[in-house]
Amino acid sequence: MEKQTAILQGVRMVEFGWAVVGPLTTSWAGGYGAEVIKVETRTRPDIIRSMTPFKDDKVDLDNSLFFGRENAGKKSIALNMKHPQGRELAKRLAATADVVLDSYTAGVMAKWGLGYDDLVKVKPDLIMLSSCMYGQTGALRSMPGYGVPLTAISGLTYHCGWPDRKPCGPYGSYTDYLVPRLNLLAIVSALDRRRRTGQGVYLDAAQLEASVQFVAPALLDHALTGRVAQRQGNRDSQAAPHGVYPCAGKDRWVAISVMDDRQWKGLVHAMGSPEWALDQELERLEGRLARAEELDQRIAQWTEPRQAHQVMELLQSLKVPAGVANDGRDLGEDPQLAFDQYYSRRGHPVMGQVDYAAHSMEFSASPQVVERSPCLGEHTREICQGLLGLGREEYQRLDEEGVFK
Amino acid sequence: MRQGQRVEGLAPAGAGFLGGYRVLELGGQESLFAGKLLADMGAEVIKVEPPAGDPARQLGPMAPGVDPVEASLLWQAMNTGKKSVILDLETYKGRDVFMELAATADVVIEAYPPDCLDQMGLGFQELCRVRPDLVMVSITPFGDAGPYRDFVASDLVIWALSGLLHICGDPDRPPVRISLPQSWLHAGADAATGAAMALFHRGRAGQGQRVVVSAFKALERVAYAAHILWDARGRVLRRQGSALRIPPLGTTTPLIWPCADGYVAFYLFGGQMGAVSNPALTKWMYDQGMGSGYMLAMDWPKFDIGHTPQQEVDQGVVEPVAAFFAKHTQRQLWDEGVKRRVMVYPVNDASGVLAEAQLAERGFWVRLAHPAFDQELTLPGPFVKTEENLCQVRGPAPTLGQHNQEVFASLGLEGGR
Repeated sequence: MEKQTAILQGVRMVEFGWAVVGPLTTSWAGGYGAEVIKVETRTRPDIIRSMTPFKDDKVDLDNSLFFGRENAGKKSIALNMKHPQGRELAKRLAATADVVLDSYTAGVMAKWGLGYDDLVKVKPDLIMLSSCMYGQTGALRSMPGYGVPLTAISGLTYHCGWPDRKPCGPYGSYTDYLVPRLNLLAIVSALDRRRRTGQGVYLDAAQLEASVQFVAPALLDHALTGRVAQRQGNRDSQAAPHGVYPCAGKDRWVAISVMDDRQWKGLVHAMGSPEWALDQELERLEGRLARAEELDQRIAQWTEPRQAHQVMELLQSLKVPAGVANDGRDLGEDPQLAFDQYYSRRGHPVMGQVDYAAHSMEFSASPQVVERSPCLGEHTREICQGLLGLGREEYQRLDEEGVFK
Repeated sequence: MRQGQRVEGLAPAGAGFLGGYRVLELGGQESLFAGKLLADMGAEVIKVEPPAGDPARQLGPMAPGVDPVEASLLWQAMNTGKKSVILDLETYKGRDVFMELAATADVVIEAYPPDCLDQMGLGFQELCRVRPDLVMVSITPFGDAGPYRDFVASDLVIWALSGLLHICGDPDRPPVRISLPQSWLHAGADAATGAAMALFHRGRAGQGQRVVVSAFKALERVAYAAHILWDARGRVLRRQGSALRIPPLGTTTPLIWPCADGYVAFYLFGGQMGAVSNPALTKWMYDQGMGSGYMLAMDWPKFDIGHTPQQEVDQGVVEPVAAFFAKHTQRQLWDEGVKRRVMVYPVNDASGVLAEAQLAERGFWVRLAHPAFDQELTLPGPFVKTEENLCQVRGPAPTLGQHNQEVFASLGLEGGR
């Protein structure tokens, strides 16, 4: 039997983050065993503590499922950074960290005396990652932003939607969910380098520079040939039919992608080999691409009276890529996610029983464990009197001075 | 740097975060980004290709007038800094050589259907016989066990099942994906992270392991709002196109706005978030003679979209702002918006991204010569910057079989298949 150890056991991460990118990066690390301490404050609460949806619509800093989902598996210390003692304690805390994560606007940490240059004096092998919109240098270094417009400037929004309409963009703050993946890659790579060399490092992670990796082929194409890629609905220039088709019920859809000629045969068989589909021209990709519009209409007629799940199961049994467009309710009932125990139902002191999502990686010798999110400042006393060694009276005094707000 | 010998866990990190590690990458579009990222981080990444070339070499966009085997620009973008060897894993000889190569490797990344490598005699357990502390990363659509295990997937199908598709698009049309495939990029980034984490673990605990990445789960994270809205309030989130609908009145305001030569992204937050941009936008419009009395009179931190009737928001704010944006170009709005700290962002196409001054100023773009191309290739630089360029693009994508001789010679074999 292999020894089961969490991979990031013994690694402490101190997070000065808010919104999604910073907090999600460390939350994922928490699932793999890192001890994550989130530094936050009531004087300027993490913006997503105030964002919907709230459990049973009750607006409260500890009741947002959005915050909860992106902050699973952490402790929370409340430190008032407007108070010099708050900044001092933050620095002492950072000095105990293996990794400090900062997702504030460039310059904020340095203003507080918590820049890498300050921290490396108290923790010489520190790994620190700063993740802001545009990076720590350049004219835009302190330009504010958030995920929705970053998705636009990165070239992703333009490519989502219908060719005859304005782009709709992917839902919400799409880049907030790709940047943390690359942030975590940088952090764990830096941890391994530190293990091998003893050296810490400062990581300047510009969210724009991570995001444009996801449109790289279109950028290379434009630079080389001058072509400008366009949004094309659900079509694919190298596959047909390739689309999303209506099914029985309200707003029910099934996605079907015929990626090769063999899969086309499977689809034709599934549809009961109707006369129109037996046309020889359709046996080859070129023929299907030329008649993509007609194919979409014919297939929609076939799917429309049918249940999305039945279409999916039938096509999958014939090795044709097909999938139900799951909605929020379906996800909780999805058999694969249930099999994987992907959602962990955890009791939260304010929200009660709520689901927390896992990360996409499973390790054979090192299990992922998803724990609940913290209330604001829930662990302040524990961390101050434990890790930071404050006496009871000192803690009391600082609390009265408003250091732990 | 290395001549085929094993590099122990305590080897120097070399040039890059993951210098000194050897990674073998097997199989198609799914695995490309993971290998590319590990190469950026300094690992030696060897792409093992069948004699006809990796199937991803056929994926568009294609460069005109270039050898078809090298012409895929998706391939060129996603294979920088790798080596390529040809091995026919359909043959005994090819599999034997692969085993010898695996004995020198730290990581194998693969994207075959579940059990496929086991049936070829190249599964994790077999590979561990020649490399006991191997890290093997499997990139899958839906995991390697469970009801969807044997489902066939495409980017669109993964979007669909993950819940992301359902919430993207205009309400009066079918849900819609991003036209540039994304699933394997999310999963690939996670696979690279899984490899690095397992190497870290191996260095500390002396133990390799298998890592399974599910693209389905990776995309469910992107669809964040769908499941939590159901969990919190028992409501199904509906797609709203390029607009946001705020309860309780359901007042809807745009996210994407037409401008004189394209589109810009701007959101009229209420409350404290709105107080960042809205007062400055109000003044800007006034300065240009396009002010709105409603906006000038507004106490922005108290602006509450969800409690303001649709008609009042439309007439007082949305229509004047739309008229203002329509009179200006994307660059006028973006450049002046930066000066005035108004978060009005360009909805960039590829040409717009390449023209962003910030990226040029940071020296982001990488230009690479490739033997099959007359012109240099322009590609995104590193996703993270460090003082010693520990993450960087290390060279162009390899030509098919370019490193046969070098890699096979390091095993003491003749070059070739």
